[in-house]
Amino acid sequence: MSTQIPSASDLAETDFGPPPAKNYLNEETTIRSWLLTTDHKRIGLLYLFTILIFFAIASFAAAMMRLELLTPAGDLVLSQTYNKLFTIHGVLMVWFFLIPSIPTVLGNFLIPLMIGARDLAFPKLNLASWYIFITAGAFTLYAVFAGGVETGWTFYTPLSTKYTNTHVFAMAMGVFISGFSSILTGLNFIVTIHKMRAPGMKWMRLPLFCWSLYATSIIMVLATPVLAVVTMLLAIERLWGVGIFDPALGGDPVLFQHLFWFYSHPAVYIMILPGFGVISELITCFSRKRIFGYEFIAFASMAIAILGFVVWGHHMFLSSQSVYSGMVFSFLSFVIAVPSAIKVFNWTATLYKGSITFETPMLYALGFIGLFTIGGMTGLFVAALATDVHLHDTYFVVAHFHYIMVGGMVLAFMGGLHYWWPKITGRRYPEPLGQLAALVTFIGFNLTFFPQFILGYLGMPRRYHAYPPEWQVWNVLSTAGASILAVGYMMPLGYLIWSLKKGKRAGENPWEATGLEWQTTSPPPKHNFDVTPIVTEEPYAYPLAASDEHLKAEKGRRALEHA
Amino acid sequence: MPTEIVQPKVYLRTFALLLLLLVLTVGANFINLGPFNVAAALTISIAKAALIILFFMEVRYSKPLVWLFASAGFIWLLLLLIFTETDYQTRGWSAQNWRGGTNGQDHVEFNNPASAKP
Amino acid sequence: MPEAATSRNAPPPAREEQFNDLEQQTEAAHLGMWLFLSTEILFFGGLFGAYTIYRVSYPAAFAAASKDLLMWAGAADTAILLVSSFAMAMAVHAAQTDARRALTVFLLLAAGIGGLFLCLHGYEYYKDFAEHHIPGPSFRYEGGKAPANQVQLFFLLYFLMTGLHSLHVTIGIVILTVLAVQSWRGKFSREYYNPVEIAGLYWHFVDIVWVFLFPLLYLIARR
Repeated sequence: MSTQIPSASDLAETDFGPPPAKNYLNEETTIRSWLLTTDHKRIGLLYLFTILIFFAIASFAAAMMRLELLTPAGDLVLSQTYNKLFTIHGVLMVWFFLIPSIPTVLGNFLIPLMIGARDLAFPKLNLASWYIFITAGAFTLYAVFAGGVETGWTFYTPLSTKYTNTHVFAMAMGVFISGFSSILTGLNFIVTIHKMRAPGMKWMRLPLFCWSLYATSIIMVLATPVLAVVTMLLAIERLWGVGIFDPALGGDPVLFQHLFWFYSHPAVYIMILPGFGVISELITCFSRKRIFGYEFIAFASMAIAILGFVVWGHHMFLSSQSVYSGMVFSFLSFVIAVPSAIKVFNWTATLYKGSITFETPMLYALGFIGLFTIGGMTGLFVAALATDVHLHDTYFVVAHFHYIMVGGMVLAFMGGLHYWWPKITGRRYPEPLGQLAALVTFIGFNLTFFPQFILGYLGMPRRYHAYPPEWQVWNVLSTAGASILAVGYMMPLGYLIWSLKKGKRAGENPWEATGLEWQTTSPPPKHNFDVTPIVTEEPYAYPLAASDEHLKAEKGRRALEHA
Repeated sequence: MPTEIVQPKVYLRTFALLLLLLVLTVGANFINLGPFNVAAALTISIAKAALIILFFMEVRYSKPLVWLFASAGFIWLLLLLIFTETDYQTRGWSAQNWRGGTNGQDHVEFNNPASAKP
Repeated sequence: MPEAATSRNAPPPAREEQFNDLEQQTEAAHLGMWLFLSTEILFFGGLFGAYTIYRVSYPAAFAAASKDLLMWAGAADTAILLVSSFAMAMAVHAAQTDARRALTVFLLLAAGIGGLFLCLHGYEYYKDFAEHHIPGPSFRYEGGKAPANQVQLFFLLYFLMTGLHSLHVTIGIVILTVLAVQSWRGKFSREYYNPVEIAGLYWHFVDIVWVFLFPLLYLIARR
């Protein structure tokens, strides 16, 4: 028996034979068969295509902002245009890229495969949610191209209801409608995970990706309706001038913030929990080692989903919210750091004594751990009442949440996309280019956002298109970083498309990974499995065991064999 | 999904109880209970909702999972109400609030220490 | 029994291809409906939240405004919805016992009584309209006992909450009518009546919302 633990890179060079004659991609090829499909895998790809368009538009807005901030004077765009740019960037990135990103693309594609089901519980509903998403996108893009909105993605009243004359209504409707898409997706996932698991797939054998999406779905189902209500109230007040949030008419603008953040803070966890799930899969696969503390990671996801609902007030420390309420929210915000830290510790413990290889997905995953840790720790700065007075609405906050959203979720999305790309398309992407892109992304990201921590600490406020000249150095660095980051994003776009036709055949399981999704062909057949699989073991039965005894035994065995 | 077929007499009794509670809630409105008028009205409403959920919606005869799903929405609604109301109830404790007084003078000083200096 | 005969003639129950058996399909639909209802609770919940804040802030104005609503109409609304809910529960029982004709009748009854609710509520809206109680530029409040702005907030919440509720009632009536037609055509049997059951859950939920709306909107002020 070989002492060499099979590593993924050994298999990277192998070109496997042709894919199965019939799979979900070539079973039917008409446009109609794509637009009316109820196959979860195809719907996942429809989402992928759609959110990439939104990502491109939102990135363009970000690029314009970084260009404007190259010089201290507001010389490239007018201040109002700048306001519209960051609103477009925020709204599209939050509701049309980050929230749907991993759940609707990888979640749709993988959940039935991972639990051994033929499809989600409600395939038609799944397709309907994509069409709802498209409708929402149409409203939002109309608002963008008809002249934009200048309120920021938070739509704070009374600016949004009374003082701005931009297309708030259309954009709020876009957000309102997109919420229903999100609710239906979450509902579908929860029911699927409860009811569609293959025989033997007990809860404690569920892949951690599914656990994290289960937690995400809880938030989607229970928080999103409140967003729907609050955007509806906003639209009604704007149209009829009735004063539900207007102090002049007896209303309270802070109530808008309460209802808005009751959704939008948990939504932050919609934007990171799925990332946790992806990273858990990647870390264990590329360490060839069973995940450390499976139960802790699973329950930490649930804890985050629930605790995430009771911290929203930390966005409102300076909004005339009661200080006492602020103390409670501040305390709970510190509490929620615990389950997040549990996950980071478990991932690093999984790496410990693992047989680590550095393929592209693993590079993204390691980047994620570092950047998420920085993003999470700086979150505590702004969750503390006193320091938040100094840091609120500065670039410190911008840097903090970009470390979570981009450094966390986007890296996890890219890592996951690369990891499951062979399963999705049946082809491999070019590994060296992938590794290079991951590295470029990591460098570009840090150069973009680390200077913003310093700018924020120095007091540079968000949402201004001009600033005093002494801050120019940091802003130039940040803009330079953004252009490197753009290269990091462009590269995968190029080689992934190239790989669709020219990539090497992947075979069923190119990473030698565990998990049901790797036991079917690549690309999978229309109904995923020819025979319903029966699950008989834990999800991460990699060669290296997690416990010390196993490690010692393994070492002893290897020493014997060596001798 | 209920595990047994519920008999019509159960539905009939539930329905009779619901009508009785409706009469009670209207009746309580004519009696002065001070602050307990609200409490009485809400208690009766909760009782009515519980009857509908347990018997008409057959949760009483369903698996534990359905109990969990049926209660989740209400628990989350309580979170929303409690945490929002906590803010409104404690605002007056320190700074003057938005509903009157000095119009948030304290907050201006809190935000911008420079403005407090003479 | 004629009901038993219809059961034998009924088409085999429809299992969708992603499910292994009908039981799995039924349980999935059931859970899905409960999740949808929890979403609905939070959807109305946002409005209940706004209501709580403003009622606690402006107790006098809310009490004064509430007196302008027709309490007896509100009580009748409640009774009507309770009767309709009872009919719905009986419809589910009829489905479980294969009583096809009874199922059709009870479904139509539940939908029809729901229609009655809409009529009565329409009358209340008409009265509010005539008294200029619709929030907006034409809003007028002459009671003088409370600031008009605060009274307008009450009426805004009243119209939003009852309006959203009436929208749900309307959707429910459409669903129940469709089910009644399907039942008449013999689509349901003891083995397959899942749509009736989950439509029932929805219909009872609409009832529950009203059970809370009635005291919160109509019964603030002691009469």
